[in-house]
Amino acid sequence: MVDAGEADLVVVTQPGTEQGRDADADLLEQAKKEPERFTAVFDRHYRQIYAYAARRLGPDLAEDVASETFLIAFDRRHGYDGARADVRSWLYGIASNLIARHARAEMRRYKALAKAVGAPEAGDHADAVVGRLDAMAVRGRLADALRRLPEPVRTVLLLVAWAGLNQQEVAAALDIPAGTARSRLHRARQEMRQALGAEIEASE
Amino acid sequence: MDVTDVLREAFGADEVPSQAAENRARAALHQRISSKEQRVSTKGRHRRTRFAITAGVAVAAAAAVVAAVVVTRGDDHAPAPKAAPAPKAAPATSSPATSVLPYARPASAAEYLENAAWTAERKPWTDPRPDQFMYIETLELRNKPAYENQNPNAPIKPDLAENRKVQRWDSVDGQRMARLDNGKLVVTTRGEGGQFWDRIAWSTITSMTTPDKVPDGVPGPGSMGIMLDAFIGQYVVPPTVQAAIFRHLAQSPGMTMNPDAVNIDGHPAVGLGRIIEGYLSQELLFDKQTYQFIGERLVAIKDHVTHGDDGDAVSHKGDVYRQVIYSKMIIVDRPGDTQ
Repeated sequence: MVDAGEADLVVVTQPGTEQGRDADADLLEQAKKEPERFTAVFDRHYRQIYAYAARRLGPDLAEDVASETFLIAFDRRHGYDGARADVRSWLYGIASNLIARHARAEMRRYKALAKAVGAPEAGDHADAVVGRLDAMAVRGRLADALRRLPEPVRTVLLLVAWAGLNQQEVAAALDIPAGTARSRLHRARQEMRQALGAEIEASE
Repeated sequence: MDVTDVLREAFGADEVPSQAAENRARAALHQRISSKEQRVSTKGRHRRTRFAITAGVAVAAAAAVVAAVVVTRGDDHAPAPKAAPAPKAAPATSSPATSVLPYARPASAAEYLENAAWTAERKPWTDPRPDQFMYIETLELRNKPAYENQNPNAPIKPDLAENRKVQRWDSVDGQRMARLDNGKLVVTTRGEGGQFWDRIAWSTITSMTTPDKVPDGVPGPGSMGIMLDAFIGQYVVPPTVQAAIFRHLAQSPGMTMNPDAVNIDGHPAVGLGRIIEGYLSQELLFDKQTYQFIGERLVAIKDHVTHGDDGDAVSHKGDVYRQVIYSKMIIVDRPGDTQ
């Protein structure tokens, strides 16, 4: 537990690290008795949750999802079980469930990204233009593949790729068996490899 | 390179929220935190004992207590007498993500109500003019009139029950109302023919924008102590108000969840409410998948005998005393309009 005098030290620990996880858990415990301590949880994780939601839904919906994630987390802080999931995974789990509600918007976003070829701007150096077009082509194929993935499978993949969770953390975040998380991730990776074709095979 | 690395690189650097967005999110959280703290500090004032009426007269009392009732009619909703059992903690964590559920599967009434609030406040809404009408269409499971007239407090009998569609229009300013009488639309203006009724002022309704601004019994002229559970079924309110009411109920002690599906017209539902008189469950019904508020019911959860001056009233576990589905709750321009 962290007392009030140590609170400043807690804030500078990095989310996702072992120290950060302990600090998060302490903050949650404190927030159960002193609700205003929950703002420290917000300060530590808001930007990451927003970034994850923005990649999947775009900035407008991401603002709603990120904000709602912390309201729900605050309401449910008494039920948080640190033995099952660390705070970061727990928050990503809440955000993922909120994002699932916007599945159509997410589909539209990937569809738009898949279609976006991008016109080179005047004056760009030729090599730079080619590099950017290649990157956009890869992104387009990935976006198209993401669009085709079932939502539960996509969520597992993106929690790994964009939220930086490992398989165990994903399983805890979504409250699914570790084996289920593993098989979904395996399937998602296969689909992505197929979408990327020879490029990814050659580089792996 | 692993596909997850490719995904990270292909979609570029993390999006950074604008300072304004972050400030809005922080402000929303502060508001929620302060709202909870206020609820804790004022909890002692929210006693509901004055609403505890005997179950035997609960249904009959509806006509006298419900604010929207016209003196000459008695087909409105039962009020929701409340008890004050011990507060219940809200346990919950994440559950499997699905394409249907917006959140982790709720594990408590408070969580379910929070999800219902979230759903409610996202509905489109245009503030109505005072001369427009709240149109509420309900499908009520009731005993056939002949039996009901003789046994007004009896539970719904499966062999005598029928679904009745009830339509009502009440002007936003409370000055006019309309009902169907044998299929004919009858519009009444307040004071006309000596008929008066009370309606909660629109300004009172629209002031209930946050949980801490929602009283346990709606105050002000015309309220007659109407309880929230009944209020939300009798008024078409802005989404923010409905959400605030759900959140207020979520913070109220004694809210329980009946997780068993209640199939009404093929709709799986969940009941959230309170135990009154120790044997009746007064529940608001929500769609299990969408969290939409769809109705209410009053059901006995155990056998009970109520001793009265006119004899004993026997209730059996599972007896349903009231079951109402809200088919439509919308604002319309004229009485008679249904969309």
